[in-house]
Amino acid sequence: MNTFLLDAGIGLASNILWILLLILFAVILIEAVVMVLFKIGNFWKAFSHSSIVNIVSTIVGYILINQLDPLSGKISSLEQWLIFYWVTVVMEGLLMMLLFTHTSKSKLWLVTVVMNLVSYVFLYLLTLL
Amino acid sequence: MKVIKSNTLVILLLGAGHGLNDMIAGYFLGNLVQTRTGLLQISLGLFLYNLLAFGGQYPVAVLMEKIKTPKKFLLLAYGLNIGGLVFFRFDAQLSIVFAGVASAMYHVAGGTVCAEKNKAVNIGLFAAPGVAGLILGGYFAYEKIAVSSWLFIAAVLILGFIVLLPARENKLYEAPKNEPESNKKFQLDQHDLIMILLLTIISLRSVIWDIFQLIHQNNYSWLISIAAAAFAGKITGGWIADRIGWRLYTFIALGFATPLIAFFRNEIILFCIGIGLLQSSIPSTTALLIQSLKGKTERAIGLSFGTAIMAGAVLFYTPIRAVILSSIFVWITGVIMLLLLFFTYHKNLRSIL
Repeated sequence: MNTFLLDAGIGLASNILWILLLILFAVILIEAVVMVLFKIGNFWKAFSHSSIVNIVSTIVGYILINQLDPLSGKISSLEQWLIFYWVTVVMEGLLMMLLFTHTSKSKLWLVTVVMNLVSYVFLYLLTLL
Repeated sequence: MKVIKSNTLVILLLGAGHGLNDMIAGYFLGNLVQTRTGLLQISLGLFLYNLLAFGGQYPVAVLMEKIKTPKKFLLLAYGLNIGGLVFFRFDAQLSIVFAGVASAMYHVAGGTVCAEKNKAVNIGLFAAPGVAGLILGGYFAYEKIAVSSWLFIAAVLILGFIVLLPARENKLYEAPKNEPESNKKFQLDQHDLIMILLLTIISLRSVIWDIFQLIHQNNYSWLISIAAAAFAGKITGGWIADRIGWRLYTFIALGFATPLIAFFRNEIILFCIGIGLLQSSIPSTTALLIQSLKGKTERAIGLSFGTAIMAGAVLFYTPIRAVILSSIFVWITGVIMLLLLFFTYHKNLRSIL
């Protein structure tokens, strides 16, 4: 494993970090577009809020990977996807309620379910490539 | 409660805290690289840490401008570091997330306290131990030396020191007030431009730093020499820059660093002098950035230690990477940095030349 020192971190001499950054950016963009389509804010507001919720849910997902690791033999891949999906929806839904204070809760939950459905389909398609 | 009043002592202890903060991060990340087998899991861990530690600095800076007490952030940062060390055995991922958030907070809060009087030497004293801590933490993990309990004790001691810090509000550095009111809008744009130029210079400097990590990867004696050169460079660079002028010093440092790094990449002494000079520009460029942001110290620290470094790292992963290992790239980057620095001249910033 080839690593190198950043000024206050460690980098990896592999393209995978760049790919992860691109994937995160794509998901942020997808969810921002869904927010705009549901008319809960303009693009820049949607983009900034989408960045916040997706960075937080990525961190939660990263911690969750370790928790689900021992169960990997007991539950199917589809079940793992579903667990990740619902955890993300709950996490992002709660954050959305904090960020969009003037939008009704039912609409925010609907947006969260739909935007995550779209982004998870995108992520699933990526795994098939 | 009795508080520590000596400013120099505060800066030295905050520098030590910076070294320990980065050592904890280096230890966690080094362990992740050593123990996890999946490339995706390692990459995700490094990605998230860097995203939080670098990308998180600007939001922390904005928040700190509102709360105005860096001490709270320093306490929280060390609370997270201690939490990370406690959880490390049970959940390394959680510890890495804690370390990332702690790094973002500590860099901005510690840097802000040390840059209170906007002296480059103080910024250098704070910044220098970081790279030493990072490489030492990585080394402990590489050699599989279990140091969690020692790090825990040291972190508790640093937390105790932070508790003794005076809970003062950050007094913003006052920019020169001789600017004519009629030119206010024009001056603001000039400052913005200077800020962008300085951030570009810092990012490019960071790219060169990253490149030579890659060239000498897997060579720990070289890496330790490079880190030692960077450590010494930041302190001496800050000290000299305060005496001869930040901008002039940055010109000299980058001007001499470029040929040394480009021509002597296999001559360890000359190469380390070049790296030392390159990294010695960090305190002076940070001080210039604080000046250009009219005393918004938190934001300047967040941009200099976080955003610009992340921008440099992102550039490192673009297709440009195919050419950056060549000496020509170092030359071109060096010349671009000097040219950009030339355009940072501003009559109201004359005091810093």
